[in-house]
Amino acid sequence: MPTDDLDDLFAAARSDRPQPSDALMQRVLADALAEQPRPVPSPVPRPGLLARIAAAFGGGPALAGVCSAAVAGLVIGYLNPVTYDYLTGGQTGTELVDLFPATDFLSSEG
Amino acid sequence: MMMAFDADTASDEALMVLYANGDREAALTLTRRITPRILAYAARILGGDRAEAEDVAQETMLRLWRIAPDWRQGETRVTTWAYRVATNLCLDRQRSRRRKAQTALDDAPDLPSADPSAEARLVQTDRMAALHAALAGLPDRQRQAVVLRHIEGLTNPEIAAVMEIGVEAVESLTARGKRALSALLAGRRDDLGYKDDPDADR
Repeated sequence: MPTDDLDDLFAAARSDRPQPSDALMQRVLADALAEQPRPVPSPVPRPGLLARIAAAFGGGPALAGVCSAAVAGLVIGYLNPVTYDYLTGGQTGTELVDLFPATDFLSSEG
Repeated sequence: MMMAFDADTASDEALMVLYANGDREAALTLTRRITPRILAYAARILGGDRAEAEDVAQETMLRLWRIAPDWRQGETRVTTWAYRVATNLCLDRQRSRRRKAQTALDDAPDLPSADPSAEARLVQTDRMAALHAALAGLPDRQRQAVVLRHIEGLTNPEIAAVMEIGVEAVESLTARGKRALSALLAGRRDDLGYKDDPDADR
């Protein structure tokens, strides 16, 4: 067969392409939807260690307050309070504060 | 919520990503785009066996859906991948029925024709049957290369990607396949109406 006739035959084949039936298209689409990955909701991230500790103390600001108090307590406990006498004029000693110098009258009768 | 996109203009590769993300419109568009091409190709390779061609097309598409979540952008084109899978599926089926007799020319299934003339339709049917029978007489690789090049209209580099061979090998296969087809159809020129066809005198 001459090349021209063969080319004509190829052209006829191209224009005579078998078309898929509706049933085939439905089957393919059904497969597509059955195999399609389902969108998964993004998981809620688990809070970190610090966040969980803060939550246990009632939130970040509360934790900050607790930490500040702890640090202040350590500082006061570590440093000698006598060094602050220049601020208080030596009036920090409990021996100098006697709110009830004479309480005997409360326990005496008559 | 799905992102808005124009499915008609989106590339096949973009549609694969959208499909893997759960977009139903992408599934529909890919089905409409690729299934007809694979069905037509499989029908040519399988000698016009419509039922087997539909099975191959459905199986090819099923594998496409399954690979979508792992699809690697830029590595290969979706159509190239689909043609390659279909080629292998057709080869498997041909091997399994190798012992059966070749499709006789008279038994070749009819294919629908858009030609309005009944006589022309008969001529067209005869020609397609003859082409299918001649294609069935070619070695597998030659048949694949000829169909992809001259009927499906793929370029040689695309065919090389589908068949996983070099471009020069594709050129050799198509040239030898075309010569073999000419020889197989040589005695049928008059039967196929080329004698009276004014175009045949070109």
